[in-house]
Amino acid sequence: MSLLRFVEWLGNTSWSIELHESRYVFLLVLMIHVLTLSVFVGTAAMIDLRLLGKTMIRVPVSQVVARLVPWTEIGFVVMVVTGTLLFYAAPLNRYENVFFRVKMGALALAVLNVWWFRRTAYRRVHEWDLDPVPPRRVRLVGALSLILLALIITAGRMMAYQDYWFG
Amino acid sequence: MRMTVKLLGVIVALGLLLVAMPARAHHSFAAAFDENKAINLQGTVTKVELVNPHAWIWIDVKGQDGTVTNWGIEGGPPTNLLRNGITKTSLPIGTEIKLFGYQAKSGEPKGVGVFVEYLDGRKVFMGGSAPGADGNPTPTSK
Amino acid sequence: MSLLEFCRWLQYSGPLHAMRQSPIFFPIVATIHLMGLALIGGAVLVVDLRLLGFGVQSQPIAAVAHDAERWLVRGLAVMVTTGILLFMCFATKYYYLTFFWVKMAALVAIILFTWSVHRRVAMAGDADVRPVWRKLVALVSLLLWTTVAVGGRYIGFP
Repeated sequence: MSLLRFVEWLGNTSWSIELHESRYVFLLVLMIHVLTLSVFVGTAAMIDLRLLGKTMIRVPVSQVVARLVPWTEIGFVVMVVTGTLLFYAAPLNRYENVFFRVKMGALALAVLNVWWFRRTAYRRVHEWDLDPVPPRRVRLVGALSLILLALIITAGRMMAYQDYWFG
Repeated sequence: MRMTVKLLGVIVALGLLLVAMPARAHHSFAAAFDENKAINLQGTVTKVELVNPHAWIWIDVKGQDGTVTNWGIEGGPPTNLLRNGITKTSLPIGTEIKLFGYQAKSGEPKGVGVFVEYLDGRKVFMGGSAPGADGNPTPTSK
Repeated sequence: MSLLEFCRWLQYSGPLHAMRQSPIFFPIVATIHLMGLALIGGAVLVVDLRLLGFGVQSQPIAAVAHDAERWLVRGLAVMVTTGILLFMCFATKYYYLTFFWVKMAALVAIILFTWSVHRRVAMAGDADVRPVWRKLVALVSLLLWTTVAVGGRYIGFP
């Protein structure tokens, strides 16, 4: 079964239709999704700013990461769960939405960026943990993360305008 | 150099978007309705989509010359229409209704709706982005 | 001039009308508004989580709060500026929305609260304030910020 066929089938399931036509549930899920970005992107941004040497410079990087990342992770889970529900409400529409594709691409890159960082530069954090401004390679990771997060927010917000601009 | 990296990211993202836009601009709905293009439509219902985040009502409108155009009018989310009395069964296919709203900037047969008017005169506000769609007086209305 | 008339004037004033002719004006401003939300979220959480006993521990609370305040101010600057522009686009509609006024009241309240009670508690020495007061202040702060945010979403529904 092709991806398009699967997405069409998904959109015709009864729960998808109910969610799409719901009086309160969809809007509640959407509200949680949008507002939780303050937790997910908010804490991720503070960690990135530490990597850039722009905030909490007297706190060891590993401390900032250890104490904030659990909240980033909780936020991430909420974003993914609510995001999946929002996708499920109108799968074909999301699938065909150019901005949605950009958003998912940026999200994948953001996750990759973190994973790669953890596997490489962060393994040697003890070398620059106490530096107010970490080494250039680390700053690049922080900068890339912030740019990708900004792109995710932009693409997500613009999804509403697909019909208008690419209809 | 006090500009945050986020702002840089915004500019990058916008750059990408703006590059993508011109190619499609003349096919598009142009992102907005034109407050100077008020539309008074009368026609038969072909489809009612009571979906989030915006409901759509589609009607066939017969022009002076007999040609039929299918118009799509956007409203608010289902909760707004339901509160005002429009349900999935209020507008069966084929019902003759009037719609008042504002047309898309692109000139397509689409627009944002202010209210639905039944032939008996009953008005139901569509609760969306159109001025007056919430039932309150607007600068452009009396 | 009544408040409604002022809103009407704002919404249809010359320069803003020209800006609104552009189909991308509102989407871009709305997007930047969300980025401000993330910035405020991060800055507020760093301090309030710490006040609640989570968050970064190695520095005194005052140092953490001092640092985060810069970013809170920047986030607020972004959100207030974009917020005013967004308001101007639909001023007369927002005038009639109860939730808009709830949001504004909560925003004024949290700004006043943050720069008075909250600041005093956060900037005090770690041993100078009983934990229960720190936690209370953090909870009030988070509750008020959440009210501002939820109010904002209610505006965005239509």
